[in-house]
Amino acid sequence: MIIKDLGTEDYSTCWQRMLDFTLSRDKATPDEIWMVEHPPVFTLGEAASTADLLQNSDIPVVRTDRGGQVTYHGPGQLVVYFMVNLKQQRLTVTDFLACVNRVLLHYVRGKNINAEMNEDAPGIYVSSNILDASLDPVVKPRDDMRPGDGACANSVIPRLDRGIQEKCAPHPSSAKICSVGFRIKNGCTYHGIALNVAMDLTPFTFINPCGISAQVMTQLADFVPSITINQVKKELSTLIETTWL
Amino acid sequence: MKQLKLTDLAEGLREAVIRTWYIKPGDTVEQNAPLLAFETAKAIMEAPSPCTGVITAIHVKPGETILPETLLVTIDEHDH
Repeated sequence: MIIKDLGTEDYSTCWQRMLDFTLSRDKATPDEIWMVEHPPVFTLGEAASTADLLQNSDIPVVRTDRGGQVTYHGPGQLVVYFMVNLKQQRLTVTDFLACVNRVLLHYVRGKNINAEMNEDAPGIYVSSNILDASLDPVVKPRDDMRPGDGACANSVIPRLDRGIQEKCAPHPSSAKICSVGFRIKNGCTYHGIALNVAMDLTPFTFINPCGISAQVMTQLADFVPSITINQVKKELSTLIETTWL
Repeated sequence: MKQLKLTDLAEGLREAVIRTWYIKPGDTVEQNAPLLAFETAKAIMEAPSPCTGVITAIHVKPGETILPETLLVTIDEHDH
């Protein structure tokens, strides 16, 4: 597993590089995780409706090949792309998605934020305010998060495979902090997650995130005002290295 | 004849939505060539054909929700 910091890169350029990487990799190619910020862009998942773009703006729109609906990327949001060979790691897609979501959930909860997953709408949500430290043991790192033994899909994981958009429902009481969208080609994943760190959330009001109207968005800086993208990159890299592969 | 269900193409999924068929009835498909793409939990998965043969029927359309036991496609498998 190689974790790379790409700094800031244009969305379409990065997408093409992910695709090239995925199409050219073989069994011996190590998995890679890319951390990147994108200049402002709205991206539409393959099946997303343009009706979820609510108003015109100067922000470019890109139709992409990932799962999910419409979302926004911009400076101050950490995008993490996962290029993982599921066959080589002996992971099912369900296990893989569960592992990704668990790492993210563990990270956000580590900031004393009351984060949760939602089985009907994949992503990480914040339900109220500060997490009571005694509320939940969160995720157990290391031993139960290694791939290949199916343990990633244990009972603390909600039914992640049920969150197709058709089942999405508004979550007025919870604000979304992290969005997900993947594609799996030749048994290898690409695309990934977008974690709101310290950014201007206004452009999210120009869309129905995940195709859900009135989905409120939040970010880490709302709870940890001093947080920076570089800090999140470092901490998340360490967490991924020590708890996953 | 091989009749493929979701459970033959991906383990552990409870539900998915058909996005794209890469083949049509009458086509010959090679083993491991892309057969269809379906979406589950915001992941679009391109599923390869588990066998070589001629597509005789496609049973579900793009946009339809499929369950593990939903019949997806019938392939007249070639003997090798």
